[in-house]
Amino acid sequence: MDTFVKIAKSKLKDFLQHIMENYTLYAPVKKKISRFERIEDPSQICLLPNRTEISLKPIFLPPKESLFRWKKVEDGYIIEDCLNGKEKKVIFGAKGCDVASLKILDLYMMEVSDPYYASRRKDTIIIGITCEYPRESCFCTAFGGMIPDEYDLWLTDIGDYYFVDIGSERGKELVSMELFERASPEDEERKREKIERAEQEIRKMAKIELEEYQDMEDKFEDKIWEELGDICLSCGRCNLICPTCHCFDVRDITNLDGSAGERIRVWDSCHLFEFAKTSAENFRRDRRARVRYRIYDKFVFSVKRYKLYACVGCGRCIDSCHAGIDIRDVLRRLIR
Amino acid sequence: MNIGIFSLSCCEGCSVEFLNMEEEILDILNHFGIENFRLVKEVNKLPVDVAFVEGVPANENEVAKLLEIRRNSEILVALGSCSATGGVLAPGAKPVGHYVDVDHCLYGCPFSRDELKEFLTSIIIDKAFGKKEYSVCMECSLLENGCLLEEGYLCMGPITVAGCNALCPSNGKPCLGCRGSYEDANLKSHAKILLDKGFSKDEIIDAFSLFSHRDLREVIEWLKRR
Amino acid sequence: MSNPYIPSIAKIMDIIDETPDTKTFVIEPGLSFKPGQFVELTVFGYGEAPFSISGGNEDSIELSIRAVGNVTRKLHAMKIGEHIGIRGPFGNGWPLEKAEGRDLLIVAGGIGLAPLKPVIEWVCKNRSKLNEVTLIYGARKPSLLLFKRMFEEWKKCMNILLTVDEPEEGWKGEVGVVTKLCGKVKEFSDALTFMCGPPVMMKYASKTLIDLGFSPDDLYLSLERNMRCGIGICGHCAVSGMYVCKDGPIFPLDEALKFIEKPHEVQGVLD
Repeated sequence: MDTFVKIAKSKLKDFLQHIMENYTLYAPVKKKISRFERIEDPSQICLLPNRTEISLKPIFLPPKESLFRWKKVEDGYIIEDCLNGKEKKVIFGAKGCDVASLKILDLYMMEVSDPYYASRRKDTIIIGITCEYPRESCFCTAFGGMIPDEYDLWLTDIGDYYFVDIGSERGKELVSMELFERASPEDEERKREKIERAEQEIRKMAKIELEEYQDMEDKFEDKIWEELGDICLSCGRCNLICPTCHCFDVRDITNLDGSAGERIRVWDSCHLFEFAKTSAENFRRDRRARVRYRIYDKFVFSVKRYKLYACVGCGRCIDSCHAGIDIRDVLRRLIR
Repeated sequence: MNIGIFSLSCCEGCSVEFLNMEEEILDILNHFGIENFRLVKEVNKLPVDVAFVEGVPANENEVAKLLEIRRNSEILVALGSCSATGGVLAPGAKPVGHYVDVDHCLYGCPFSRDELKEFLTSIIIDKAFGKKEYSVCMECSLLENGCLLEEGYLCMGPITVAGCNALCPSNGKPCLGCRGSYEDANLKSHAKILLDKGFSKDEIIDAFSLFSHRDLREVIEWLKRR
Repeated sequence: MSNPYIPSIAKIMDIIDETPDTKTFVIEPGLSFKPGQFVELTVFGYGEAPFSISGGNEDSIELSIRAVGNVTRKLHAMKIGEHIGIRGPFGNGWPLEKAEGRDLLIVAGGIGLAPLKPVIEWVCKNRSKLNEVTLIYGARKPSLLLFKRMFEEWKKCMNILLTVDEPEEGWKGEVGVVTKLCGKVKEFSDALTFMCGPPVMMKYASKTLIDLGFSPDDLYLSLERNMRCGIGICGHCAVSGMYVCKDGPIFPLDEALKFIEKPHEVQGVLD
């Protein structure tokens, strides 16, 4: 895209109002915890200086959802698919880590298309925004930095205006409105500085740089796993809070006499004792093996399968771990 | 099928909780007749197919009563924490399982209604029913509640067996551990984390002892020695 | 495209008692499958579990199932004419095409014969395409050997070597683990091996065959894991980043040995 565009902060509300006429808008809201919610009124939106506590994941893969309902009838069963109709979504105000996580989630959920995820995810328009200042736990710079590869529009606060990067044809269509103005090279310079400054700060705190494919395979028998296995509570919080963890459990629930019921899926955690258990054997009985599995699934197996790390450096698992396990420390030891 | 709800020494909160099941009780009565429930019936009979026993025997009479219930029931269910693990009545009192064979336990103070329904379904349609092997903390995270332990409360969620759908934390109160622990729980690590967070040894010992004095005695002893 | 999570309704047409704890369920409609593939079977209200297909075609399929858990116990209590749900087939299947023109060794333990039965039936139909074919099959007790009713038929096409851990009255075959019989196939020159059984059995049988000079890339193992979704998403069956439900359940030994997270079935095979 050759031209630079910007939008005055005072016109943002009009822009969002316009979006809401044609799309369902999701944006950050701060209640007890900060998360993305469906917006009815733009004044609900709370543009936070850094990532929300809950990622974008639940919009596309809810913690609990019905797959189908069934009912016993005289000659068998009737099944009713719970797959919903599509909703034209715009996600506004997502930070780089969360937008980057969608690309990873897409790989896992759509290698064989998961229809429930796909129907929510398809044609979603992403309008991201640059972080003002990072959290202590942020380390997105280890995975390519604050600006993701794929987005439709990207906003950066440059004072009275948001500088707008256009990342797709759909994005281009959105900025064709009168609300947007042509930006100057100075505006672009200001944007660049802003991003650089924030990334510099993250680098300083995170102190971790990963090469594209860092070899960690030889650490499979490292004593770190025993140390982490001793302190990990196997509570599963790191999995559930992670924007790219997507494992789920499938459960059947019924009415009292079992004549009707539904099959639901619920987020699951590879840290739980029964995660890899079959009727014959538990293949990851040891807590040590479970702790190791999660790290390897993010940094070794994902690289083998999809040629990328299944981590975006959002730091949510660091903030949520009761035992204080810091994935940055773990990585530092693994790449040493 | 017939059921009975029997009270030994306890607060009888589980009996009350049974009566609180306003939404579900009619459906339950479609499948089960209540033969014995002192709190609501004048004429109470034995035998029953399923006996729910709350509380613990506190004297010889109650032990005899418990033995009689066991002899006169197909399935005996320890209803609630006191009955299942000794609960708040331990260490003085012993759980029902100390005296008779217990077929199933419904943990919690009081028990979880959802779990009771799940159990009744398992009886009606002959489906497996068992204890979960993960924590209240997992259930709480699924609800995206935010974390009371992080906020500085002494929460027992990470080592307490799931099944209540994180009722207390969802209502802003830390988990007291009323459902007891589970095999995979990392008790020592949780104790250490609480110490690191600045809770005193006594506070932690109290929290671990409140509902699980018997089951957690090893880690309680370990804490005392520290 | 149809939703892979929705089971189609199938009817139990016949139930064959194989052993005291295993029954074969013949269900309709059938489906087109490759030997070694599996389906996810729903007993409505009780849950879903994976089972390898032990025979059949588009008209009807056979599932040979041991009663061990919640779903299987209920299934064993079901009667002809009742309905279940089926999703699948899932998984990769045995590489039958590689067996043509070569010796084939089939090694099974216990219920592990179920996913190999379609291989045996394929062998019987295509006998001229193969050289030597031997089935080594072991179970805990003679009464627990599956598909005994088929043995006479199968013997026309292959050698069958049987062994049990605990002999019962009248047992004339071998006593001991499957591994012991693996030593008897020394004369196999250019052999492909298909193996399925308990992890410990597969581990020691693989080791014995490797020691005999069998090549790890000619030895195929069917792994059993906690396959829930069947399409490589839910994560429960993952081993070393491979989805057993989709990338497997059948893996060549040399590939499994390269897994960073070594499957239990191959741990120590090269030691």
